[in-house]
Amino acid sequence: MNFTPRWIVPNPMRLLSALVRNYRIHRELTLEFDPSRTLIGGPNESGKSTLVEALHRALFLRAKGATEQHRAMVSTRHGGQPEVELRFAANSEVFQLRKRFGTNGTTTLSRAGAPALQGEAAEAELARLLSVPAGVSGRNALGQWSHLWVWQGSSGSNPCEPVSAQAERLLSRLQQEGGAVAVRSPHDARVAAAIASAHDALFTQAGKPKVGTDWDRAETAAAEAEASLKKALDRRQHLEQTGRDFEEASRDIQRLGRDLPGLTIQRRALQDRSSQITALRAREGIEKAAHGTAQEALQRLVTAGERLAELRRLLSAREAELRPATERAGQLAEAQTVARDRAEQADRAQSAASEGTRRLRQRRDFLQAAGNRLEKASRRAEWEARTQQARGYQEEVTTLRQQLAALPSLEPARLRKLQERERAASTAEAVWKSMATGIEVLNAESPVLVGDERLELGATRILTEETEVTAGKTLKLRIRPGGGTGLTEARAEARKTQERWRQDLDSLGLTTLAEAQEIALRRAALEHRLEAAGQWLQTLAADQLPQRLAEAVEALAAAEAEELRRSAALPDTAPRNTPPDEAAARAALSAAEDELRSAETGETTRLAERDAALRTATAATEAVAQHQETLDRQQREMEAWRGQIRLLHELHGDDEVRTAALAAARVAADAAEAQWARTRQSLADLQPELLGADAVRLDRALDHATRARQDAATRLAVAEAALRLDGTEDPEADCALASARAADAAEHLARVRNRASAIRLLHQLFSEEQRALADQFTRPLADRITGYLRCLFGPGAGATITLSEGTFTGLHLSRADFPDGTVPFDSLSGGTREQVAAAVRLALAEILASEHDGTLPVVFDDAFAFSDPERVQTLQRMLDLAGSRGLQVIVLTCTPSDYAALGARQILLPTSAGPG
Amino acid sequence: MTARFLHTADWQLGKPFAGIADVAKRSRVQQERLEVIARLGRMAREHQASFILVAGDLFDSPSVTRSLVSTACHALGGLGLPVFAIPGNHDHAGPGSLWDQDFFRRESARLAPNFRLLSEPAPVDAGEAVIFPCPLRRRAESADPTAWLRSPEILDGIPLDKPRIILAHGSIQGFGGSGADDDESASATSNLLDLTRLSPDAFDYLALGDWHGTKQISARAWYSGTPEPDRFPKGADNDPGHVLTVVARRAAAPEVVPHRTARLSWRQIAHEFADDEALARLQQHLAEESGGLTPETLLRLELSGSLGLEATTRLEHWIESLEALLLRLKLSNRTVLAPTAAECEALAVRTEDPLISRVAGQLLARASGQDDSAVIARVALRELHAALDRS
Repeated sequence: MNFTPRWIVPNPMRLLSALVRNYRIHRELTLEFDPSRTLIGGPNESGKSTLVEALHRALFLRAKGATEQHRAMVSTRHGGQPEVELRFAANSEVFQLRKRFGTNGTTTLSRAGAPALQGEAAEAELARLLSVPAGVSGRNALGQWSHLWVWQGSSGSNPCEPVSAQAERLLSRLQQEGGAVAVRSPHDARVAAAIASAHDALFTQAGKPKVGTDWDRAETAAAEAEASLKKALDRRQHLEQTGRDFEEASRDIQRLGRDLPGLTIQRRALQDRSSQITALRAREGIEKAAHGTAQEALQRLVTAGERLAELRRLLSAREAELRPATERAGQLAEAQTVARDRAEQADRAQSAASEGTRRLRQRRDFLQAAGNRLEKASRRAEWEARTQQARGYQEEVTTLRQQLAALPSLEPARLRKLQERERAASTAEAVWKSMATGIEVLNAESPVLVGDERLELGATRILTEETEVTAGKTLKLRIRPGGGTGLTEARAEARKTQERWRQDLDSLGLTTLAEAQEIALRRAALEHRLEAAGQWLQTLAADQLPQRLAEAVEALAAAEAEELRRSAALPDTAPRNTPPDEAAARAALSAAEDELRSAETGETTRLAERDAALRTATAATEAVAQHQETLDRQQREMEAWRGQIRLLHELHGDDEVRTAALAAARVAADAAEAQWARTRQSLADLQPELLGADAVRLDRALDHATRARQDAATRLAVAEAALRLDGTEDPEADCALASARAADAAEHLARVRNRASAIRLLHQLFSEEQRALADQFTRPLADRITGYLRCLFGPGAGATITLSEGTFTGLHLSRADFPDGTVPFDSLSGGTREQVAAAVRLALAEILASEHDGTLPVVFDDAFAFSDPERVQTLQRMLDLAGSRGLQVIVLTCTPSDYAALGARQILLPTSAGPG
Repeated sequence: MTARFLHTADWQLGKPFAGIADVAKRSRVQQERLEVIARLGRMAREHQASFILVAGDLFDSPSVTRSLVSTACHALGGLGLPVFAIPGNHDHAGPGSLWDQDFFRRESARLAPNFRLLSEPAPVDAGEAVIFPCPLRRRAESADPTAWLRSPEILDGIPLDKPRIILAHGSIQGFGGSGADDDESASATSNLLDLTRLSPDAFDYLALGDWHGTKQISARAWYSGTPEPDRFPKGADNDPGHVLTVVARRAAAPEVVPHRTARLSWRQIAHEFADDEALARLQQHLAEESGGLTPETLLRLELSGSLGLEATTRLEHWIESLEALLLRLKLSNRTVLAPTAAECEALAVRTEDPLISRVAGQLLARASGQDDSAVIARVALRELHAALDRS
């Protein structure tokens, strides 16, 4: 591979100054560039990008032309052809380039001490100086130096593309820097291709063997051989198993042949034992019955003897008991007689007491009735006296009422009214008299007329009513005593009250007030007496008196009748003297009641005594009866016992006979028992309880053994048949062959696999080493990028870039703070992307600059729009480093103050470009 | 009375020789086992033998194919003198064995009326001698097959003048078990013959089988070994490929002479390569010794040591030739590829080919050692070497 392009000539390249005229918004703009760091500031729309474009066009676009680019640069404001003059250093010389764009555009390139070049000659020389192909135009011109020229808006795009556009030149530079290491030789390539082809022939994409290859066939053959071996082994194993089955069946038949006779003998012995047991069981049944009979006989005799003894004991015990019981019966009879006598006595005493009490009660009742009659008689006398008294007051009332009726009816109210009217008449007259006005004529020239009357000098006159006084013709007075009408009203009032008082007196037929007062006093005395008499009558309840008197008379009559009845009830012998008065009656009654109470107490005591005696008598009677009943019952029992004893004697004979019979029965029972026990023991010795299980067991064993023998015979026959080969196969030989073939196939497969692995290893190593070589190749570029990145992101930052088939790819940023270590360029944030892209461009420019004596301009037009101001501060470190390393850094920005720390030459564009 | 007879054993007819992949070669080796029978027949006639004793393992398996049965019967019939055989552990008389098969009985009666299988432990009068057979009824007999000979009653009625020959198959205590492979009685506890418990003077010759090398056990006891070797040599004292001619008399030591009958050459060489020139030396040695390498040679080749790239290629080519020529090449090649210094330099120091240099360097670094990755790396080196030669 040849990495040295024919057109590369080492040319130092640096922009010195520029004049832009009639270029879109720029009428005329002059700039002086710093050799290392230039900052061009200006607000938006101030024409920064236009300036960058004008510089680029001057360098790379042919002046003569009518392309879209030519048309676009024409100014709409200023007229005239767009024109750019550029002074730059290249190849240690200073060149003056002047381009006027348009269909008749011109190019002039001049340098000191040489004739200026014009037109195509100038364009060709310029291309040579810039190390670009000559004769590019139009769209192709736009892409020139895109690795150095960061257009506004393209700062974040992946720089691998412009880098790859410079790949050949870059590789050439890198090869020189890396010590002239070739990536690979033609021989290398052929061998690598041969290995790759061998690899691809063997492996599928998935790394599996390709169909039809040796390897694939070996895999198949090995699997088939393994399967055949398994089949052969299975067959042999089956035969071996069958052989073992045969042997086992043979052994079983032998063993069962030994076992079966023994089992048959055992079974026969069991049969014999069974018969023996049956016979013994029959005998045992008979003996058991005989033993039972003997035992019963013995038991009957024993029971009879015991019963007799018992009865005799009972009888003698009972006879002993009966003697004191008979004595006790006599005692009880005596006690009964005594109790009866006592009861009778008590009864009599009680009857006497009862009679006494009755008599005393009659006496008391009589005295009570007599007292009552005396009381009722005095009550009647009282009511008669009271009636008499009332009658006297009644007569007094009648007399007083007659005297009152004779007097005028001057009630106290009426008198008070009369007195008031008299006082009113006196008062009214006094008022009238007090109102009169006196007139006296002391001096008068003319006659004084009072009313119609003439009043002379010194004369007086009392006026009681409204009067006109006239003196001559000039004086006329109206005198109103009492102020107006009062005098007249007072006089009328006086007359009216006088009149009313008189009428009142007249109506009473009186003449004076004193007379009226006299009469009033008399009336009051009479009324007072009348009231006293009335009160007495009320006190005596005069209106009820006749009724009360009648009742008293009747009550007396009833009491007299009662007294008579009680008297009649008294015994003839009893005294019937009546007490003289009530006090005597009460005393007699009280004495009689005391006596009665005492008698009643005595009677109660007698009654209790009688009841007690009666109860004692009854109890004695019951005791006698009870005792007698007990005695009777015991006698009856004794009779029964004696009957039983007689019966037992009749059944078993007398004691002597019975004793002999008992001894005989005992001997018989013992003999029967012994015989029965012997038979039972014989039976137990034969273990009949095991007989059934033994029979089942032996039958089962016989059955099992017989079946097993049959089964073994069957198995033997089956195995024998299976083992009897027809001679078409030799399983042993088959196994040996299959095993050998499987081993061969496995060995072959191992070899083939080893070769496949070897080819894969080779292929892999070729790829890896080729990559490693390429990495070694790109290291100077990566190192430079890393150098710039560390200005931005600190010492942990780095970059990797891969060279593959002549293009650069796989730009990765690594940073200590990235979780995965490295991040592909396209996954970075916008700000970081443009910073990393700038670092790559600077590194690239640095490497390419060695073709230009270490200097190349790098233009950043608003290239850090996404970077925050803090980052822009660290960015300046990177840009400064680029300047220090010989690059000419030209930064255009609308925020020049952000780049104050760059220490660049600052050029500020005016807001509106051009002086126009 | 004197008995002259041939003592042989372990013919193992029908042995599959599975290790021989080539069908024609395999069948050639199998055929040799049948052909040696004819040679035995000639030997018998030469020595005026009255009969032949086969001490077990006449067949390789108790279930051989019909074609082998017929061929074997034909060969037996061709011997023309009585042949007595017992079943061995390989062709034991177990259930379903070929001895039981009607086909065998028919073929035997038709083609080899001189053949008699002694499958019962009972004395057999062979005319000039009395044979006491100890047949095996299963592959691994736990009881001593000669146990029945311990009872003195078995000798009742045996002619006093005829030599008494025991015909048995199995291993002897203290001998045989350890060196046995699967052709012989492998177990130390089965098919054991305890000859010490036999009455010392009761028998005159013990014709034993199972051990493939010819071996004298005592003055009267011999293993004849197999007449045609069927395996690579197992040591200096294991020398197969013989038949014994025996002259036996009652109460006298037998006269026993081994005669070589082997035709195929089973050779075994172990070689360690110290340098690349060692390969040529080995080739020369094999060509010159033991009749060289012929199409009747079976070779067990055990190679170790290391060889360079070029020598390894030569070795492979030689191995390919051997595989084609020999009846069998049983190869155990543990030779390790170790490129010579010059080869290493030629691979890894190529200034003009940086990529190949680097790859070769990686492979050489990985190639030493015995683990899988080293093995793969060595193969890769050879592939790379081949690719370099091609391009």
